[in-house]
Amino acid sequence: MPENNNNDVVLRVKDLHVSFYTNQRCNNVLRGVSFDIRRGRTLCIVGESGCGKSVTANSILRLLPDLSRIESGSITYYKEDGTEVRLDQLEKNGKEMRSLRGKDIAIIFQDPMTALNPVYTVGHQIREIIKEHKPGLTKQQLKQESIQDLAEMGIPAAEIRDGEYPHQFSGGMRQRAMIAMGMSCEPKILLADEPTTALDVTISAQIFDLMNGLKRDHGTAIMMITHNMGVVAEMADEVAVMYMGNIVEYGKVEDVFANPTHPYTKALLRSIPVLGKGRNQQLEPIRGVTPDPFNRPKGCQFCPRCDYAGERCETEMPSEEWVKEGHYTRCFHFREVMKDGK
Amino acid sequence: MLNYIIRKLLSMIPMLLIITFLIYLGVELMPGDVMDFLIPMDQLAEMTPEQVDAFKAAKGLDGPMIVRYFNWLKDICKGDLGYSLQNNMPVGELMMQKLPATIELSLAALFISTVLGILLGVISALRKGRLSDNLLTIAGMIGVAIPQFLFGVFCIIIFCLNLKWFPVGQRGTGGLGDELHHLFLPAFVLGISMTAGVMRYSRSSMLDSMNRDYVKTARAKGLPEWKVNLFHGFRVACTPVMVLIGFRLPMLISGSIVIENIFQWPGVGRWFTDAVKTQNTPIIMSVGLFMVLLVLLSSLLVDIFTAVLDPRVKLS
Ligand SMILES: Nc1ncnc2c1ncn2[C@@H]1O[C@H](COP(=O)(O)OP(=O)(O)OP(=O)(O)O)[C@@H](O)[C@H]1O
Ligand SMILES: [Mg+2]
Repeated sequence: MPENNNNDVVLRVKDLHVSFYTNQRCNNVLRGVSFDIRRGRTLCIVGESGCGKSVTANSILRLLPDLSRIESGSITYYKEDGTEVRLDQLEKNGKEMRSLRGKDIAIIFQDPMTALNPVYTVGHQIREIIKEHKPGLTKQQLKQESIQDLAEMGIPAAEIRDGEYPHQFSGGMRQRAMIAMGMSCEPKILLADEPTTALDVTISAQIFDLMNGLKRDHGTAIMMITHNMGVVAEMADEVAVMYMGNIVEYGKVEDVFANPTHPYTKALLRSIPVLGKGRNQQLEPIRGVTPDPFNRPKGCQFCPRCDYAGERCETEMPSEEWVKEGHYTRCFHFREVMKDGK
Repeated sequence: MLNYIIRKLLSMIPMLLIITFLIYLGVELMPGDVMDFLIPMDQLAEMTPEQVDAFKAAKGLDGPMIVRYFNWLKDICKGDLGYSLQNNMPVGELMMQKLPATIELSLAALFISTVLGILLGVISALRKGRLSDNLLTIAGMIGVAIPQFLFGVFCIIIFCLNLKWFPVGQRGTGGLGDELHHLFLPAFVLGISMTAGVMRYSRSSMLDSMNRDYVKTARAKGLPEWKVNLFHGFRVACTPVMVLIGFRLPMLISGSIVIENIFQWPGVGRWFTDAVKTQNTPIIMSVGLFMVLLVLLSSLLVDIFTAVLDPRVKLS
């Protein structure tokens, strides 16, 4: 992992291990995840369903359910005044953690249909977070702020919308309201967990524009989770490819797209259709199936589905190999993979 | 809203007619003859058939059942509940004497079961899987399953006769303290199965609500746990619980008949049992009408409650 502790880094996750304990069985969901989130940049985490993307985002805000545990590793938040906060060591719903939630780090969830409380007006739900972090505002001031937040996210007739209930909003409007809520206290970091999966393409594009605007105008650091390589190409500055609880490749988006060094990344890239190539282009699905999390391969998690797998891959998980400045991979055979090109 | 209420009230009328008719029919089909309860055996044996007929006619007991039912209906529409067959007292007046005791008992039971049921249910949900949750769950199962009269008798034996914490039966007369002292045990017994029901439902409703995404959103805003639980978890969970309570209101009313007899509570319930025993039709019909009205009104209440609590519901 990069050791340059330049002040762009606002959040550093290092060798994070998280397990879930369900039905007396232990599921090692995260198995040593490391990445940085930087000011004014977007990190995209991409990977197939169940690989641990949401768990990663929820660990940062300590929103994991009771049946899970952070086993080891660290999550460090670098405050603007230079102090460092070890989020993994804070009490889960304790005062310190709560003071950071919403104020310094905000999160947007996948499904805007269920993430808003149906019995309160959208305005009320935005004011709730402002009230929590900026006590002492009058009712009028609060109302003004919530209306302004909605208007900034491009919601027309914000004064009226402010007093409406979530069921009166369309999906895209709700997601805007969620972002308005997330941005209301001007957080340093915005975690977006598949913010557009539930929305159609044009609405998604608008939401992405909004997020890019935040990055540009407020210097917000964004971590965006997706399982869509197309979204990565559009949004990311850095990309982290995740497979079964490991980040198997991490780097600047242009480096990773130009020189994929992990067979899984390569497979993902091959599976996106390219515009203009016509309808006869060969889309190759990834061979084999995702392993059962309770019955994982011993060595490299991708080994059973990998064309490059050798003997060593079956017994040992590769550690992070340096490819070039800021580009890392977890593959013993990355040189071969690189040489073969895309 | 008003429109809805009026339409709903109008739609209750046919229901009322059918049910009251069925009650009338039920009384009619009861074994035995009313006359046996109105005139002592030996006198009845000496009366001529003409005398019996004249007596019946005077009490309005002659003629076919249909005719008598419609006569009763006509009187009701005029606000006349009729006269007790036993002592010729006006039923309306008697009702006014008995009603306060029953209302007091039912409201107390409703209060106990709502507050206690919701409180215990929410605690149980928040401490899911711990000892207190398990104990409450077992208590809830017992509470739902135990017959009220049995529980009432147990309570009287234990708390009134052995421990002497509460007086045995009757309504208190010596000021508020005494009244509450008399009221507590019968109200508690009357409310027990409802408490257990509300508790179990609150628990599952709360658990469901706490697993929803908006609770996670609330946490992600930095709200303290009590606000998350109360304003988000509980606020949404309470709508279905209120609906359950509304639908169970009739249970309190029918339960009060049993409880008033066990605790010698001078209310409508006991009066009703006595009336049934002596086939005192005007009283049976009046109390029956009153109960049916309450049942129908509580379903209206449920609708209004739901609309108030849940902005997604529109009454129309
Ligand atoms: N509440 C939970 N209880 C038990 N296991 C869980 C829970 N949440 C997540 N997991 C486990 O953690 C693993 C990763 O889940 P996670 O939700 O992070 O996947 P994801 O990458 O976000 O997938 P998706 O793209 O479908 O959202 C899964 O194998 C899942 O079984
Ligand atoms: Mg997810």
